[in-house]
Amino acid sequence: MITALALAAALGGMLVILLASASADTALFARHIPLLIGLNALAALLLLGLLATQLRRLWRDYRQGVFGARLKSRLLIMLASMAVLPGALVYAVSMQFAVKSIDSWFDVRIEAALDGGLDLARSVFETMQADLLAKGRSMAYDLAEAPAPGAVLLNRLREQTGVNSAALLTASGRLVASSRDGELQGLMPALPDPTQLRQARLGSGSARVEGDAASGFVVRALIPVSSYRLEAEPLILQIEQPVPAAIAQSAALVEAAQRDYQQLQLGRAGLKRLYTLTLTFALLLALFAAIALAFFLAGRLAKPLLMLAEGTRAVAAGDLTPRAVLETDDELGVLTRSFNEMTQQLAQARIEREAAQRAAVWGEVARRLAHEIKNPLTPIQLSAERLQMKLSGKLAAEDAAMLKRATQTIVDQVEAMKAMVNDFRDYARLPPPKLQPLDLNRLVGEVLELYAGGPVGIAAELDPLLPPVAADADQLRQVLHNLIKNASEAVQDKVGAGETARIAVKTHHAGRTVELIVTDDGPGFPPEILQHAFEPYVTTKPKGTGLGLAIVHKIVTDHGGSITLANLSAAEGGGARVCVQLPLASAGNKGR
Amino acid sequence: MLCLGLLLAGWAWGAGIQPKSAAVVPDERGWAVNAEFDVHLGARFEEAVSKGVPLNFRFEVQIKRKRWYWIDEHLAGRVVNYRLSYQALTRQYRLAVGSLYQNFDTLEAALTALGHVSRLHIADTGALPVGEPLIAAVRLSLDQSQLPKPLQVDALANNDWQVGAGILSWQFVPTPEPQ
Repeated sequence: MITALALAAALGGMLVILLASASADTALFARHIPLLIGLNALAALLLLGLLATQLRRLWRDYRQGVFGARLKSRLLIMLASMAVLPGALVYAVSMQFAVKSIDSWFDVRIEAALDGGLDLARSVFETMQADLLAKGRSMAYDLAEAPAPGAVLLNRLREQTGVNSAALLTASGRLVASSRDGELQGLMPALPDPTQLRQARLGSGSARVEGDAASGFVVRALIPVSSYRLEAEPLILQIEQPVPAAIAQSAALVEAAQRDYQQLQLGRAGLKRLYTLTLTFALLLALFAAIALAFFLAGRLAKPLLMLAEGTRAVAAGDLTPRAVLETDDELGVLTRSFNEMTQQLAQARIEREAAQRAAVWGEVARRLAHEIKNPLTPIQLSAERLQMKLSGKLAAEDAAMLKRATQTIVDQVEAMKAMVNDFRDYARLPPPKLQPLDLNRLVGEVLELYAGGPVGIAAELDPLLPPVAADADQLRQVLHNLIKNASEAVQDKVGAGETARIAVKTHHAGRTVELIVTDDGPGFPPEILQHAFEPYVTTKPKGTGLGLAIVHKIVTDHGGSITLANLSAAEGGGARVCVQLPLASAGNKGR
Repeated sequence: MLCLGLLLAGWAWGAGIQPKSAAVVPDERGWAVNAEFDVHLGARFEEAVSKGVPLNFRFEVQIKRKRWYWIDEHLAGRVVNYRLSYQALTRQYRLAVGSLYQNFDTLEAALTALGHVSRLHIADTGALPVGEPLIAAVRLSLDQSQLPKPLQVDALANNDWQVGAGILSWQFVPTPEPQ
């Protein structure tokens, strides 16, 4: 649609230029003025039709309250009025100017002067005609007197009167004698046609001017020679005299000027109409093109705003998926991009909130389970111990040994169950951290001392310039224990197989946070675990509650820090990497 | 041999160029056309001519053979352009064909001469099939496209500037040359 509009506008523009150049004095298109006008009208109508469809569509959208139609309409009106107002002004001024200047060409005095000039030229010609006619009559009189008028007499008379050319003709037009001046001597004179001969014979003679500006004017007179002798054949004298070149030229100039002026005046209304039409077509096509452009621009301007509005509506409805981004570097592009960032942050916040909610729910479940399970555990254990104590002496040695094994199993399992329940309780009852400036390096040192002499060597790479973090020392100690325990368990298989295993604890300062990194060279996290590692009861271990990382995660997030899990690439030696980021104490972070 | 055209509905009033009669006649080289037209320019064009606007006329003649299965076959034709102008200095009307011209004292005389086409050669001997019915058509029209631009624009909106031109079309059968 827009393409069609652009094409029509381009076509119209071309036609207007053609019309304008035809209105000026180029001969190329002058012959096809009506065709050009028709084509222009057609182009204007075409554009109008296309625009009307567009406008109707917009109006329908507006009426139906289609989203964005209002903004588009408002932009369209603004842009279109920006084109229409100056266009109308220029149109009015040029119209006034064109019509006024056409009118100013015409002046009564000029017209009178030109008419007067033409009359003057005519009267000069008339004087010459009268003069020649008088000369001719005198010659005719002398010729009539002569007994046998011939070439000699004609020549003498011609020279006497100073006429350029003379010829004696019979009434039927046959040449009797002729005499011409100078170079023309011997050449046949131009002969009159029968009508002129008949007129000359009947009247007393006539003179006329013949020729034109290009070939020169000649005054020609025909006079009957009325002889007294009855037997003589009636003759006709024709004399010619060229109009002097200077007079002829001036007369021709006056005639041409008067003719041009009269033509102009005759075409005055048409000329005005032509200018008016050309200007009007130019205005119409320009306006239509401008409105078409306004349509296009309004669409372009409205698009990012509509995208944003659409996005806000989606966000309000809860849809936080990323939207299309406008790839421009202007403010609108920046706006849509920041909007997208905003929704992404919102989405992340929501994910975190959901995780926290899930953790809280799990905590509650864990707390209740722990309570319900722990209560009967102590009686079970005590009963088992009492059974053994009371019955071991009364049984045979074989039975006593069996009883001892069974009660020991019960006691051990109850003990394990208690530990598990304690884990649950710890997770559920984790109190809010008491944040204090803490030297993380010292804490790491203290914890690692406990593992010294263990089956796996733990390497420590501590940043000597580590700033203090805002943390609860007891909770962080648990984090360290859990992480190291996880790492040790991960490398247990290697150790069991007699291979060397390696666990490393690193600290370093990274901007506004301190990073605590624990790595091992075990098998790493299975991909399906990596996604849900922080949720309770997710574990890779046959004997585990799955609460280790969940507790670590809860503590770290309660500290306002973050934790990321990753697997090391084969090039790095393989294994798992846990990175805990904790805020600095100086950052004023008081936790949650 | 003479095949005369019929006078079409006359339109004596107003402007218009109406063919009165026309005929295809043999001439010394083959075939020629004679035609008579009533030429009425109307007040507007008469004024324009008297103000020095040259008018261009176009005389067209065409001879065709009817074909039922296809468009008619063009056998012969001719176009002559006339130019009528007024010489204000000598108060004469000039009718010109190419570089040839004739002067007239009155517009009527010039128009009469314009409407009288006599022995205009159109086809050489043998160009027309003898004994077969053929269609001939003549028209004399005013060439509006050669008017000055302002008048053309004026003519678009004004009916006074229209000079209708009738076509006279008739059927004839060329007969063998009398000689």
